[in-house]
Amino acid sequence: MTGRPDPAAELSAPPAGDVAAAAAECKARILEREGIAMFVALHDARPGRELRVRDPLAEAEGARLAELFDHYQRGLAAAPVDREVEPHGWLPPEAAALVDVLVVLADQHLRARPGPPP
Amino acid sequence: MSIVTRRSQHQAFAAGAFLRVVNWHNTLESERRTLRAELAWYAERHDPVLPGDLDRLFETGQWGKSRPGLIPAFYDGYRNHATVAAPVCDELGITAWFFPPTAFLEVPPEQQREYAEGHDIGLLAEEPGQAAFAMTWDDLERISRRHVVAAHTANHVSDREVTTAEDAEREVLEPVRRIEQATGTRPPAFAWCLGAPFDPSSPAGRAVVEAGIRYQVSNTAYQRIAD
Repeated sequence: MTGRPDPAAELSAPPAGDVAAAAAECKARILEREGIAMFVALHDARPGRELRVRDPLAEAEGARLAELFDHYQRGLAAAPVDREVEPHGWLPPEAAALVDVLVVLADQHLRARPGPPP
Repeated sequence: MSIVTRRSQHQAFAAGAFLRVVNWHNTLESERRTLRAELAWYAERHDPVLPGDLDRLFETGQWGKSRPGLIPAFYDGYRNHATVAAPVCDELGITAWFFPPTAFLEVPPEQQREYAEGHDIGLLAEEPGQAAFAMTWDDLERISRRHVVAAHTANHVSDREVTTAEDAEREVLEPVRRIEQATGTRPPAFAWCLGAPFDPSSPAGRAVVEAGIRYQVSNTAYQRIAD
C-alpha cells in the first residue's frame, strides 16, 4: 500500500443504474465554468496507418471502458425524452447522441470529485 | 469512414486506443480554489500527456507510463487562463494544453466583450467589470514556457466556415504561424470551434495538414493526421 489513490478506481466502480438520472445531473451542471471530463478515442488518420495499442494498462482499461460505454449507450437510448446532455444542436443526431454517452460516461467514471475546498 | 459513430468509439475503446481529457473554458478567479482542488484530484491519479507521449504511442503502441495519462485543456484564450488556470497548473506541477483563438488576443480590451459575444466565446455573469477578457500575446508566450499551446483558429470558427484559400490562410495558416512566432514551437494540435473531426477531403482539413499540424482534436477523438 502506498496510500496513493488508485488511478483505475473510477473505471472499476459499478456503472450508474439509473442512466437517465445520471444524464439529468450532467445537464443541470453549468458546463461553461466546470471542467468537462471526456474519454476520447485515438485514431491514426495518416494514409495507410493504424494505431495498434500494445500497452497492458491501456488494453486492460480499454476492455472495461468499452463495457461501460455500451452500458451508458443502452441506458441513454432507452431514456424517455430530452436526451441531449450537452447543448450541441449543431451536431448530426448520431454524433450528438455519441457525445452525450461520452459526457455521462466520463461524468460517472472520470470527473474529479474532490472534497470541498479548505 | 466516419469516426463519429458509436461503433467506431466502442472499437477504439476496446482496443485501448483512448485518452482522458478534461476541457475547461472560463476559469474565474472566484473559482480558483475549486479548480485547484479538481486539478489536484486529477494529478493524484494521472500523468499529464505531452505531445511527445502521443507521438510515442502512435509509433510504438505504448504509453510508457505507470499511470493513465490525462490532458487538462483550456479553450478560448481567456485572460483568466493566464491569471488563474496556468498559475494553478504551475503550482501543482501539471502540464496543460491551451487552445487560444488568436484574433481574440488582438482585440482592444474595450472591444473584447462585444467580440466574445459575437464569436461564441462565453462570458459569465460575474465578469462585467473586467478591463479585459482575453489574454495577451505576452501571456501566451509565458504560458508556453511550461505548457502546450495548440491552435484553435483565429476567430473561433468551425470547419464549415473555411471553404476558400483566403479562409484557410486567415483561420488556419496565419494563427499557426503566429503561435509559432510567439512561442517558438509549432502548435502540435488544432481544434475547430464546435469540435469537428479531421476531414482530409475538405479545404479546412487540407489547410490543417498544410499548416504542419500533427493532431486534430475533436469532440470525440484525438487524431494523428501527419508525421
